[in-house]
Amino acid sequence: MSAIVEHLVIGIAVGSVYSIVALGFVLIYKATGIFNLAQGSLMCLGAYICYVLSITIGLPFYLAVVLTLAVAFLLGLLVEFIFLRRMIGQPHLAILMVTIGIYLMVRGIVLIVWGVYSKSLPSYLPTQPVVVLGANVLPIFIVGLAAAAILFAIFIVFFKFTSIGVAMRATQDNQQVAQSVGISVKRIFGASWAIASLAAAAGGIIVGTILSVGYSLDDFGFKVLPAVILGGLESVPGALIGGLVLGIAEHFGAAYLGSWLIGIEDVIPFIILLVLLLIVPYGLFGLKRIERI
Amino acid sequence: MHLPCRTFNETYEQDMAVFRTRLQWVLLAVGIALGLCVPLVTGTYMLTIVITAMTIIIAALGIQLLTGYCGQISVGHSVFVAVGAYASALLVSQAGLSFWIAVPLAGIVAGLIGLIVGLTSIRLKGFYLIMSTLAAQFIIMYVIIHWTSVTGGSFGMAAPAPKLGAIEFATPSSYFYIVFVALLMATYVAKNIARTSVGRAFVAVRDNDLAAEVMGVNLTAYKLLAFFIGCAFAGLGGALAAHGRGVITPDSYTLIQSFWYLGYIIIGGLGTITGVFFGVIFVSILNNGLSAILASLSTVFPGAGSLLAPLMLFIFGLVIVLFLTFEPRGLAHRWAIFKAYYRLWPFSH
Amino acid sequence: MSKTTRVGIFVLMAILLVALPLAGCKEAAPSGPQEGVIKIGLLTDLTGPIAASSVPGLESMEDWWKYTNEELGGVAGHQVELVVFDAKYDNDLAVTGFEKLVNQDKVHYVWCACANYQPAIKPLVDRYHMPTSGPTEMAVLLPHTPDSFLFGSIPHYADMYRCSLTWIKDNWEGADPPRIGIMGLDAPFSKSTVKPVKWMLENELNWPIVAEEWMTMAATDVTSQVTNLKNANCDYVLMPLTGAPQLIFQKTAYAAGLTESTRLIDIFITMMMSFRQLDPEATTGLMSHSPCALLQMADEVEAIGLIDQIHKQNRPDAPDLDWIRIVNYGGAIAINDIFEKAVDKYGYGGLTGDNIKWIMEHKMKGSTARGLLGPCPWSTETHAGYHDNILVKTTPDFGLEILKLWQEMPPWPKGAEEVDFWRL
Repeated sequence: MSAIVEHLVIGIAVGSVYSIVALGFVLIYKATGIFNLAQGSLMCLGAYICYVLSITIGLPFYLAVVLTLAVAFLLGLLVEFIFLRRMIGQPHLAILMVTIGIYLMVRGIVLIVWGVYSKSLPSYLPTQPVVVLGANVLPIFIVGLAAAAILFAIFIVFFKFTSIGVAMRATQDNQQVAQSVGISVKRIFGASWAIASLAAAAGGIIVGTILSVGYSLDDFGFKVLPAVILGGLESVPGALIGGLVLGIAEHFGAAYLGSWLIGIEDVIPFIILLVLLLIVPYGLFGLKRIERI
Repeated sequence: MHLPCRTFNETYEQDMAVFRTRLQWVLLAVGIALGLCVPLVTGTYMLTIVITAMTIIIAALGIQLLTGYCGQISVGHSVFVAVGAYASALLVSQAGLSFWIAVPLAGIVAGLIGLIVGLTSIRLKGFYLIMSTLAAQFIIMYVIIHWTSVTGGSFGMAAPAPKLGAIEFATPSSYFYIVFVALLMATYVAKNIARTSVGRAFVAVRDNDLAAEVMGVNLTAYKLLAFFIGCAFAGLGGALAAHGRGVITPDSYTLIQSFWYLGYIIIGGLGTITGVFFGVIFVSILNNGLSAILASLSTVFPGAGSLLAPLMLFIFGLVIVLFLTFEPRGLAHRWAIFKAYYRLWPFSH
Repeated sequence: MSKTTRVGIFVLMAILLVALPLAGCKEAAPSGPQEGVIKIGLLTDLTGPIAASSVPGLESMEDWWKYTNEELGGVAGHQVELVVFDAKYDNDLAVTGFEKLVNQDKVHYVWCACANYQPAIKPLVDRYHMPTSGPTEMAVLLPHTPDSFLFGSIPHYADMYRCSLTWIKDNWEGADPPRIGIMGLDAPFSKSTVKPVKWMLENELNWPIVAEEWMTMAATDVTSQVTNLKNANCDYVLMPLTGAPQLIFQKTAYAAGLTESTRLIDIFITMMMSFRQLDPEATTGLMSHSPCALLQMADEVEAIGLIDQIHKQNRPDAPDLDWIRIVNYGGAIAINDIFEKAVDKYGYGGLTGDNIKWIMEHKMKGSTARGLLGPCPWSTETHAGYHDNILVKTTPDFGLEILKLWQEMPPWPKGAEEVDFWRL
């Protein structure tokens, strides 16, 4: 029994990291209707920016984190302006391919500038694992869980109660109507990318602490796709739940099935996803569209 | 299509014809003749690239029918290519069937598996369908990699070269002809599917499925048919590629490869058959061209290999992004504009 | 001019546009070194998941051939040129790359730097009779013909582990047998390593395998595997990993505290252990095949990426570390050796003093590295053989003291040859 609780705790801890990354997907989709496959790349860049600020330049770590979030914000604006602005109104598949192009470009840049060797972020946490309900959890996961909770609280409130948040939801629903009401769609797009990039950078810093800052961090973005869909593409709390479910499922899968079904943990999230989608076609929290066909 | 002066369509067949004028038939004949001469003038390396490109075109015809015409976005296409490849290799090496039977059978097997995956499309739309095809990609790939007694796992399996009586088509120059003929047949079938009632039903489903249902198009049947046909083409392409290479390994069929199938049709132009050709040829040239540049640069700048390879990756991504930014409707659209410009010059409106 | 003429000209131009490049790439007859240049093709992964291991290999190749060309006047009088193809860990691309290197770039030798590509390119190696060496002797695992041109430049990884396990057996002091854990990677080279090693543990040594965990190439989270390994209280964990997965595993293992109680054994750690025998104080500057080997010496963990912070944390008074990608030179040196003996099958010997000296002078100068280890090429004729390890100890002022230590691999027992554990 305690083993199950242990696995559950670690699964939640890992899942909270997934949910931060999933949040970025949902933010962009919610506001722009674009499925951003370059989310992992934004995460990777966020991690490297933090590395540069804290190690190469040598700023104190907490300052570096704040600055990283700021730079990531600007980076999101920049990416949206350069690559996505012209694609407003174009078919979604074309935009999907543009995000893949961005993924390739960022991978190339990262390899050119920083090479293949992974880098380490400064250690700002005690290295001893913390015992939670009998499970040895590394402090970084506690940070991850806290960060996830904070970010999600902020964004749930943001989308429900602030005018920009409501404007984003309006834009996603119907761009033309939103424009006619006076919402600047371009500004909304920029803002959504900027805050998604910010969330990605936060996730990147956390994942970079867990795994080292390396060029393959961008594949993390593909990993959380089941989490995004599990929770429903348009729902911020859904991303949280989806991430947690993903973490738990993966962890249990690896722990109990991993020895005789090698690599099953990569597939379990998708099996769960398929089963769930057949029961709940819009994910757990997605907006239901009433259709009879 | 635009007809020359004094040529009118007086019958339905004329109106629907793909090759309407004599000039078009002549060009077709010349094109095929030149295609048949390709192995005589090119080297083995280029032939391998051409054969690979042709098998990819066959598979991409499938995704064009499924996604471009029918609107069912599938991000698991490369796994159906894999199913076709493995099915064909198994049928030939284990069941002892001959290549000529095994390859079409493999296509059908892939189509049937696609049909099963397509069952999810009855309930799901848009990005949720994408996710279910993504799930299919991972799950089927997992089975292929880990069912080692059947598929050989990560070591791959052998796909023997085809034999016709005493002739063995083991070299690229001879195998080229098989693939070329297969490509012609596949294009013929695909084009005809696209322009008959099935194709029209697909387009109706894509453009507005509610209206299509109201009009009497049986959504379930046509969605499943689209999956079957699309994945059958994929299986066919995969089987042909497998026997050309001689050995198949699961690492060739990744998620990124699936995204590229979508990429080929997006770059080429969604919803057109010629778009498939344009897309695959463009990306092939880009990819292989950049590798060739890397190889030459690495001899000129020894010591820069680790910088040049990512640079090539960056340029690849950049070209894709730039292309899609300036022509999101694909090369087929550009080609149509070019033809119109040429035809109307100097009156370019 | 008439419409037909215009179309005709247009079509003609299109044909020429397509035909000329195709025809221009038609290969001429294969030949030996032309104009005195030997071309070596490198089929590798520079931007994919195992780039972390392959890029140092490339860099060492480039270094080595530069040295050979400039200092030694080339190989047998011919200058050497390296042609690089990045196959991005994709077997299809690797096959195309092999075709390109052989047919278009006219290389005389192919170094396939990724064991994964070997099954895919084997048919081509046999068809073109192109001497190809891979990082391991994986040729034994593939349908093996006596005339195969596929060589391994280092012993199979299972043989290396056989050396390590032999060393452990000779030096184990506990009453109970050591508890062994295994961390495998879902890749051919790793699976083909684990199977014989498990056979050896179960049938020859009778040591308990208390945990066996697996990870995939794309894994980003291995906490559950690490937890399971930790809970099993292993004395040693064998980890046949590479590239990004290895970095991730090491990082997670270190963070979870696995390395405090357990020794992680990389594929090439035989040499580590041998060296430690010679110099118990030595903890710095040691490097294994991949630059990401995780060593545990005493209470210290050294791994790339972690080195700066951990080293400073644990040994603030120790000099700065300097990483040297030694063993990748082994691959380059192996090819050099192979090449000099022309393209027949042969056995070959170990590193020579000159080689070591060059590496020392070029790469360790000014560093505080205490040692240099390199695997040596081994005999491709017999499956068993010696694994010479030449060890060089340096002093901070860059003196040189060459030692030599043999870690002989006992040949696999009779029973092993009959068990088909080389097939997956």
